[in-house]
Amino acid sequence: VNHAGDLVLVTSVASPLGYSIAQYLAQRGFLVFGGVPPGRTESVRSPNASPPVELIDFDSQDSQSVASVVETLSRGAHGPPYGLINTATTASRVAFDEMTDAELRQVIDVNVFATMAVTRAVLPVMRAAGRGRVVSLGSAVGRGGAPGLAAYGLTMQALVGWHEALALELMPFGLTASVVEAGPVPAEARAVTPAVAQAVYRALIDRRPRFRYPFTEPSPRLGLLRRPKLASADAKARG
Amino acid sequence: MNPGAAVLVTGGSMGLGLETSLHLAERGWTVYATYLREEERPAMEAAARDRQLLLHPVLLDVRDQMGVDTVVRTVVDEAGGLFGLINNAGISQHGCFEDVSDAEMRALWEVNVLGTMWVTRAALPWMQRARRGRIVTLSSVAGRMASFSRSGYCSTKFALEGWANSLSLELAPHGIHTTLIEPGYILTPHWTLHKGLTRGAQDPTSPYFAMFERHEALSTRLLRASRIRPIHVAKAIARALSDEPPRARYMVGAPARLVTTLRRWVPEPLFERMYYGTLMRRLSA
Repeated sequence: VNHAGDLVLVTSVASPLGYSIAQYLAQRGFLVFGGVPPGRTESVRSPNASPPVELIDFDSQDSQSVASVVETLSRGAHGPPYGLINTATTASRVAFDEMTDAELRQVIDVNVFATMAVTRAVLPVMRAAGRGRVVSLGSAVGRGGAPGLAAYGLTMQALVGWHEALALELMPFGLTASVVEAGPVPAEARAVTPAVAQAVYRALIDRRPRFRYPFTEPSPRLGLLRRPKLASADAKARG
Repeated sequence: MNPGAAVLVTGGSMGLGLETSLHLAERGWTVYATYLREEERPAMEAAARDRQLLLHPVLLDVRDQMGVDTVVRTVVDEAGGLFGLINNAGISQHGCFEDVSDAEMRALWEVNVLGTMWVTRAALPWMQRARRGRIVTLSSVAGRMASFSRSGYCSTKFALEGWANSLSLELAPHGIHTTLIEPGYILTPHWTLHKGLTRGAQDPTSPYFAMFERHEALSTRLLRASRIRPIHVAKAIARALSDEPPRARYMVGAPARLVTTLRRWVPEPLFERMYYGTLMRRLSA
């Protein structure tokens, strides 16, 4: 199947990981629209990128912004979106008992409810087109666990469960849903990113995409994932 | 074992919660069982009387953060501490994702996830102070494997799993153990109570309607055939409170154990085709 020119929406390219995924897909022939928080387009634009990622104002938490972007993309010359890549998530690293209620709600709002809302907006369009794929960026920490990441791990694992059920529900319509689990990102973003972008690409092109593309870095990194230093989390919580 | 030590069971007025409360009381724990509506209290007290047990019923809506703090404080004052918290309060949701509104999804999360967070956060400082305690959270086999038309429910149960995986590492150094209980298919009031609550799923014009109805019929059959009873779950919870040290997970029921074991050892693409393929074929027939 040739996907050249198929439209893909990456919900946030404001992070290096999101942008690298968008660029990886653009290099492989997809027409990629990358969401950027309103007003921040200039800071994300990378003039030398080729082929370019089209930047659009997009706030996954704002239902009007979501509705208008989905409508614009659906009506465009390139047809309805073929791929929805949910990358708009926020990280949080605080010991659970030191986290404020507001922080907890914020992580869940962004990572779970906003992701669900965007997907809910796109699905009818994909069903009408008879094709489409939803890919969400998850994290291996939901399964492995790490101190300081209880709330974040909660949201990441929630995405996995939701996606697995969603994949079943969408099967009769010929649509797919997959979660790509990223590994520890902060310090090693550069090393991990290509593997993640590659998994997202496979979720878009595989004939039978998997429900879950697990994080598969060699063990030293997994060790880091299991027992990261708590010092930074404590410092952040107290600071 | 800590006979006499206080245990707080949320959602203790019916189903698994009630059975658990009674079983723990029988084994010598001082049990505070919360109930949501005043009219549930007489039945709870009657059930305890029948078995000649003493329960301490407490009115609590886990969504009410202030109420949660007050209840936990009252229990601690009265019992002189809190050894165990059984996060049992939860609701279900039947309906495909597109048929579930944002408000319905949030309402589900408010109980299953946020309610659990509020109670745990209220209980933790007391456990930290005592440098011991057990947090037992009712997940489900649906927290390990998702199913058709349960995307909301599975999202909450997977969420609790992801949360507990990290929380257990945070709390272990403080002497507090975190355990997940994962029951398989089990017939409780939960099932009939939450059937038909999702409005969009009842709409015959929904593109998901036919498969949804078939799945409801199929899961009702599986539930009726299930041999797991609430007492099996209650026993697993009692073990989570008394085992030294407790396991991170107790799965309840042979079918649930079989399927999750298969999932761990069979290559994932193959498992997806076998297990979920069979399910989807049964639904499209």
